[in-house]
Amino acid sequence: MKRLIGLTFAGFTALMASGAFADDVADGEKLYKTKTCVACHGPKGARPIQSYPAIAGQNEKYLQTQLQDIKSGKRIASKDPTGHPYTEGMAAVLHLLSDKDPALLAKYLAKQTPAKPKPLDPAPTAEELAAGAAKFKTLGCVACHGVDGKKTNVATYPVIAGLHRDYLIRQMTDMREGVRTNGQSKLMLGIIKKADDAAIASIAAYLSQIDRSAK
Amino acid sequence: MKLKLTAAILIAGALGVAMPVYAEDAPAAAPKDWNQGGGEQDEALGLTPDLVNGRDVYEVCSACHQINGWGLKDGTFPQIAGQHRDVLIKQLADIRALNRDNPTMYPFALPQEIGGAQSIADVAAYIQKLPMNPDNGVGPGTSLDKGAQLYKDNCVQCHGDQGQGDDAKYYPRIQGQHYEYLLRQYNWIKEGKRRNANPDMVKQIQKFTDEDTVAVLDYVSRLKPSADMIGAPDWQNPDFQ
Repeated sequence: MKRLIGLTFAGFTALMASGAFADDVADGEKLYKTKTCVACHGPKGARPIQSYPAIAGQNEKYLQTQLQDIKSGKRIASKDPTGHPYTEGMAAVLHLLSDKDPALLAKYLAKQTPAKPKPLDPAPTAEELAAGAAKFKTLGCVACHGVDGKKTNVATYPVIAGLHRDYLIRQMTDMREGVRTNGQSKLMLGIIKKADDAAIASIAAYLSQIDRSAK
Repeated sequence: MKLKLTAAILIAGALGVAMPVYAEDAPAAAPKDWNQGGGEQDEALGLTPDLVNGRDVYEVCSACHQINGWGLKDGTFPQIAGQHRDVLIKQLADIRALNRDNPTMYPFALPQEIGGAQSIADVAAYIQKLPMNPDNGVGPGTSLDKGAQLYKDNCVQCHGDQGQGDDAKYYPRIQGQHYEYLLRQYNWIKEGKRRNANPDMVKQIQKFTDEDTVAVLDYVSRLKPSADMIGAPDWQNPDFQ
């Protein structure tokens, strides 16, 4: 009997917890729509403008860390064509988030269906994509970002499949040049410094066309 | 001395080198061509606006400036509702031509996001017609008499006795604007970070102390637009319901 009560209690707390989780996701969605995130990253984080990253279906912990790091200035970026770091436009609005908001936003976004890849113009040939895939393997990217960059071995790493090619190029280059050093980026330095610009462009083109929108 | 300075500027200009700032009260980077016009600005000014398309273009803007165009009370985003059409056109054209730095807004000002000169004309006309915020952010309220005097002595000539501005001269309506936004822009104009301000204003405000600044902007934030321009507190733009 005692055991039954115990189980019921466990079930009850689990139910409570899942209820709280649903609330968090709903709160995250509200934040996403009202704190201007949607302007750049698009509806449900899946239709970004320009070369900004699609964040739908990204790892929750990674999202939370990046939000906090861009807010605190730990994550910085190389300059855009107008002479401002790519992160500046976002950093300028993040005071709109309270300390608990990044966790809620991350919960909501991690639940969303990933974006379809943006087609490249001109479209890469099958050989070019294969060359990118081969470099992705030989450099050892797979070890952390998973097969085709679709599933990471650690939750703090980002899923990189299907992100915008130019975004991927910038991140790899910024890490190689020591511009982006926040979070786990430094762990990647040893690997990415072996990649020249052509290798980075090739890997980026390949990864940008991996579709993880269909489950 | 003046001649020498002019000569130095001319030579430096010809050589393309950075000029040291001589006068103590000179801004860090003197804005030039604050209103050179031309290009899209002139083109948009001459076009007949289409308010239906203006509404569609505004959808992008509404993510930050809010569906009412009222901005945020903390001044992160300015109220743009009720702003003069020509002022809106100039600012939009300036941000897109990189005459005014705004990393957050820049991507949305690009033609691939909102369209060409016609879209600028359309959205400006749409925004101008929006009723204004009845509850904008104001300053601390501690030196309003001083602010009133400073305003009268320095600002009235261009921004008008009620902060209504002057459409034909590209002087913005500043009445009812959020205090924190006014403060930020004012400081950027003073420091030369905002490069598309009228150089007469840049020069004029160099002598203002921090206390003067708070006093005058607090006063401005409390200037009200005429009653027929203000929306009801619970008004929500029906175009986005």
